[in-house]
Amino acid sequence: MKRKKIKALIESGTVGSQVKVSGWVRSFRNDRFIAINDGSCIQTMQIVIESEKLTSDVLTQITVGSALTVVGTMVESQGRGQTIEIHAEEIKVVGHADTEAISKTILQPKRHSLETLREQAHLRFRTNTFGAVFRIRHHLAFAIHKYFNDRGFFYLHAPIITGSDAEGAGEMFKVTSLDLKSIPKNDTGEVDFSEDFFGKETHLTVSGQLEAELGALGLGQVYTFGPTFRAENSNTSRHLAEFWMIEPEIAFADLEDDMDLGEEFLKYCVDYILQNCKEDIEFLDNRSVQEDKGKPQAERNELTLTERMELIVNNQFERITYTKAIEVLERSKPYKKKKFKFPVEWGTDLASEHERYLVEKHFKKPVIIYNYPASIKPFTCGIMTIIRQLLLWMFYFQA
Amino acid sequence: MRNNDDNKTVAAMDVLFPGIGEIIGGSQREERLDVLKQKCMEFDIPEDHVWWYLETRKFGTVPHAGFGLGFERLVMFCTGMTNIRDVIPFPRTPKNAEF
Repeated sequence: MKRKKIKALIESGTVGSQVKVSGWVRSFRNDRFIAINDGSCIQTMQIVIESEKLTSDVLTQITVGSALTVVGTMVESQGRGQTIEIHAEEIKVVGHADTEAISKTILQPKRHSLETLREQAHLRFRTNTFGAVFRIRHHLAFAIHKYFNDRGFFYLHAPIITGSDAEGAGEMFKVTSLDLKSIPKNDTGEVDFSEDFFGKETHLTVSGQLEAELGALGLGQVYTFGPTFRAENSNTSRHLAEFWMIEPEIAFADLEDDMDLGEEFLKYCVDYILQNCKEDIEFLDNRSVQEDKGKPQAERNELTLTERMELIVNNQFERITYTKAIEVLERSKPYKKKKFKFPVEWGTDLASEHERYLVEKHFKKPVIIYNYPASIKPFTCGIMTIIRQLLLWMFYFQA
Repeated sequence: MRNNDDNKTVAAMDVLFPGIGEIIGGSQREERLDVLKQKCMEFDIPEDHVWWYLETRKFGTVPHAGFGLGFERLVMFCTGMTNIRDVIPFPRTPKNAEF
């Protein structure tokens, strides 16, 4: 018999048939009810066993974290919390889990901090939170490919290793096959990269934009979707040394076309998740509500996760020029009451407090700001603009 | 990015989301060879370092535009997770390349 995924069984809801499922034990109570999860969805499947029919050897091995394969009959559940369950006829312990050892890990069923879960990133896929997060991550990636594919864009693989002749790319990872114990030097004592694998200095990519431009100027519409790297020594909740970027590029298009694409694309992706990841979103929504309860009022989210996502899907993004944004800020209450820490002045960059005021207080929906002063772009903060800054270093004029 | 005709601004845009700020940064690229060459001069860039980039402007150049989106930013927005390390399977951060 072929194994069925728990997601498929719950969706079909059919009772009476004999099925085979596999998964990891989340709980086992009263020697009768086992909850297993196979990762296909956030829900567990309740397995009802008659423990007296099992050998004590099998019974003792059914513990939290162990892996089981069960053959049984799907029936309507009498209990609360699930509509269907499986009455087991056959149970096989595929992989047992030492109870003593597991109690030292995050698989021990109790609340663990996200920090602890991060330290055991190899096991965190088995938790509800990270199961939900990584299923959503997958669906988002898929939605992105689907969006572009459906509109005739081609997926362009930009190189991971890039050559750069310019100096000052200090925040890029160097790529070399030189023997670090004996680095070849030239007459002036500098590293002789002509001896290196590529015959020149190379780095890990910080952006696929330049390559995407080249692709678009022949294929018409392309996008990249790949890892990018930054050797910036900042340990914050917003920075990674390795992260993934999506960079579409369209030919025969101006800034307005670009804004149209950005808005439609974001709405599509967020809506796709709302439509296709309902249970996971619901779980994460409850999770952040719980988390918010432990925070001071000012730091709590005014909207739930679902509401924030619906705000994107259901609103036309506000489009204002940088000049207009400055005017709005100059008329704002926090500006008049001198509540802003950073100056509001044409030609200076918008600080995050200004952006937040525009998005969250003034317009109360996503905002696109365009036509920035030449003097401040790309010397601004933010993940995208740091990359632009690096690109500027690479090519000085390019951003 | 492309200089606007007012000579004060550039054709760049940012999409700002509630809660997380900038989610997309994009621009219309500079397609005019003479303007690019001028920038090369201004910033003292040898044209032979970027010859391939300039060639696309030499042969049938067209207005074009694009944007960049940090995937993890979008995953954070769609999951409500507040630390970027919790939306990538195996985060790579300073002094940490475990797993």
